[in-house]
Amino acid sequence: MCALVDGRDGFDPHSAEAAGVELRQLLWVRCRNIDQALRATDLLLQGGGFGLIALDLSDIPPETVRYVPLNAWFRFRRAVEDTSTVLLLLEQESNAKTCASLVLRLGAGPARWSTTGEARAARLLRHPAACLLDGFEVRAEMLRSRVAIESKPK
Amino acid sequence: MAFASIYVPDFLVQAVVRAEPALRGRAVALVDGTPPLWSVVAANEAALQAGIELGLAKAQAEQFRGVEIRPRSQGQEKIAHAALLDLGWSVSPRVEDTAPDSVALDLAGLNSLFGSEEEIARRLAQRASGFGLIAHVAVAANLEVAIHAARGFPGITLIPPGEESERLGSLPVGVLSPAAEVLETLERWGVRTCGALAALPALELSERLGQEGIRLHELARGARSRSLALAEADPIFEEEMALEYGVAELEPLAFLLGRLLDQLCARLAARSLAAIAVRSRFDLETRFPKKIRRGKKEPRGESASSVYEKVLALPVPMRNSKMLLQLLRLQLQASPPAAPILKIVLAAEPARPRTAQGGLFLPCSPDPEKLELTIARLANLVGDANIGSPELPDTHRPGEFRTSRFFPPRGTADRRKEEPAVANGELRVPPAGRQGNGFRIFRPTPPASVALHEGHPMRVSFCGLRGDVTAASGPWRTSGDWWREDAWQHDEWDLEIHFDSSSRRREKTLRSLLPREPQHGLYRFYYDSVAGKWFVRGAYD
Repeated sequence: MCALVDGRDGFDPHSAEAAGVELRQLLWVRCRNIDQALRATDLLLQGGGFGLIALDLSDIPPETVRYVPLNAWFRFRRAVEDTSTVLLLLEQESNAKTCASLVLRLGAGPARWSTTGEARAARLLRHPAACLLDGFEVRAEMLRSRVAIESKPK
Repeated sequence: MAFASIYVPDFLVQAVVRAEPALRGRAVALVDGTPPLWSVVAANEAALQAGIELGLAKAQAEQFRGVEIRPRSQGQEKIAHAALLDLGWSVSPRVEDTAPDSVALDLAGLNSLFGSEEEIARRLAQRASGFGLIAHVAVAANLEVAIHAARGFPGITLIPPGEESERLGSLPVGVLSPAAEVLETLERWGVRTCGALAALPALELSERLGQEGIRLHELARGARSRSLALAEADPIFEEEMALEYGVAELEPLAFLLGRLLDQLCARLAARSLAAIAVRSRFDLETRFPKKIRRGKKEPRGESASSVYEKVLALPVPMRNSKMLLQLLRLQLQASPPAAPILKIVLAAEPARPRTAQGGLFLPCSPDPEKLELTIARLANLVGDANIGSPELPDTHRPGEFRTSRFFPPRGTADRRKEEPAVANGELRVPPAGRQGNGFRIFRPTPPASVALHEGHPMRVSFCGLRGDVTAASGPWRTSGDWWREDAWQHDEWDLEIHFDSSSRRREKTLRSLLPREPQHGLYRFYYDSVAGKWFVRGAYD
């Protein structure tokens, strides 16, 4: 069972269901600002029992998230440390720093379009009804990992 | 075969003391009647010893130091009686509602569950104490003997078969509840104990007192037997408390609610039940009218509701009083009553308690009671409408969803229905068609300006960003609900946009919606044919 703390109410249930998310096993908390989002995360961590708690701050300005004191992230880390709960933080910059066990930078690759003609921008624009957005690749770069260090063979 | 009888002495006083535990051990007298003609109608032993007499006027009774005067409460008597019945049902399924202050139980077949009759009697007395009542318990092979022994002897009394007459002999005749004139006649004859009554010749007694005399004679000898008249289990669990002064703050109110919930949960536990909902009703102080018109008989003013009602619906049956108190507090914090509270009534809707068996290899899930508390706290923080499980209704309207109450899976049956995440040592990957990229929706939907060329978007601007369309897919038309006033017709486009580096101007109100300054991005736009405008539904993320 998962909980999503939606910092800016940007979650789309339709695309989530299309991606395979079991919506009835998802607790969705729709927040209006970062303060609500952090307090909601605190409450969920105190309540416990969730396999994954995702805190989505992607739509919150980075300068606002930078003002969150480091001890808040430490407190979150402490709350999940000896539990089976995973706390996933989505943000534009890495603010949790040393509190995070794993930091990934995600980026989008070029969009893929399926078309009957040649995949050139000009052709695509000329016949937009003949092409479909197929998606795009997501690149992930591991910036920091405590997990990898622990799993190194002796 | 054996019967037990539970009797609550000074029942009227105990009913009031049950609601006000601070009075325990003190001299208490109850007054009743039409004010100002209050008179004492009941008093406990301590008050009688202090000099209080039944029928004394309230003003006279108040002269006695150390005696607490309280009004009689029929509501509390009803609840105390219900608690007494619950006490009986907590041990035996066969209970008789003998009198408001007395119940009788059939103990047949209970030895293997609860032990000897003495142990059962001790358990009953202990549980009565847990319900806020001091009870006398008597066990005998004869139902009537048990009832009268409980009335006459304090504490726990066990009467072996064959000793009924001997044990009842010392009790006063009044214990047999004779009619007033018969009791007066017996007193004139000098017959004051059951032993003396049992010694009278039956024939002569019947000639003078008729059938009533025969009945009393048999009762005094312990020879009269009858069957238990079974009472029906009452599904109502209610506790109430009337306050002398209105309570306006949450802290003292929570203290009182906690006490009532303790009693409710104890009664539910005694009947092996739990609460699936808790209904609370508060009688409020009547507000003073703001305006008084001269020359009118009745003053006019604001009419405020004098009753505040709330229902706390629980996802699973619960009987943890502390958890219920926290949930009630959160509910009251979210919408407090408009005036100070004069009376509290709490009613629990009973249900069978939940049974759950965990598994070693099942994924963890939150405890339902803790989860309910967490959700209540979250609802207080973000609002009731902003928390729950998303649900997609049966409609093609874009972006339509509703939020329903979040329930943890009931048990292993629910979990077995789902495909396991790991099967045969391999992680389950969704089918190819479902590996879609994420979509981030914009709420509220921002308007956009779109420049078209030959019907295709070429340049867009929204939220202070401007850019050129480098790739487009569309239009994909959706429409529906044409028979309703809110019919929709959208032409949707997936656009890849390359933003101008010079578009730095941001509208302040929309800054937080799109804080990033991307060079390019994938967005979904749509043209609303009904409104005649372009909007941005969201971004692919």
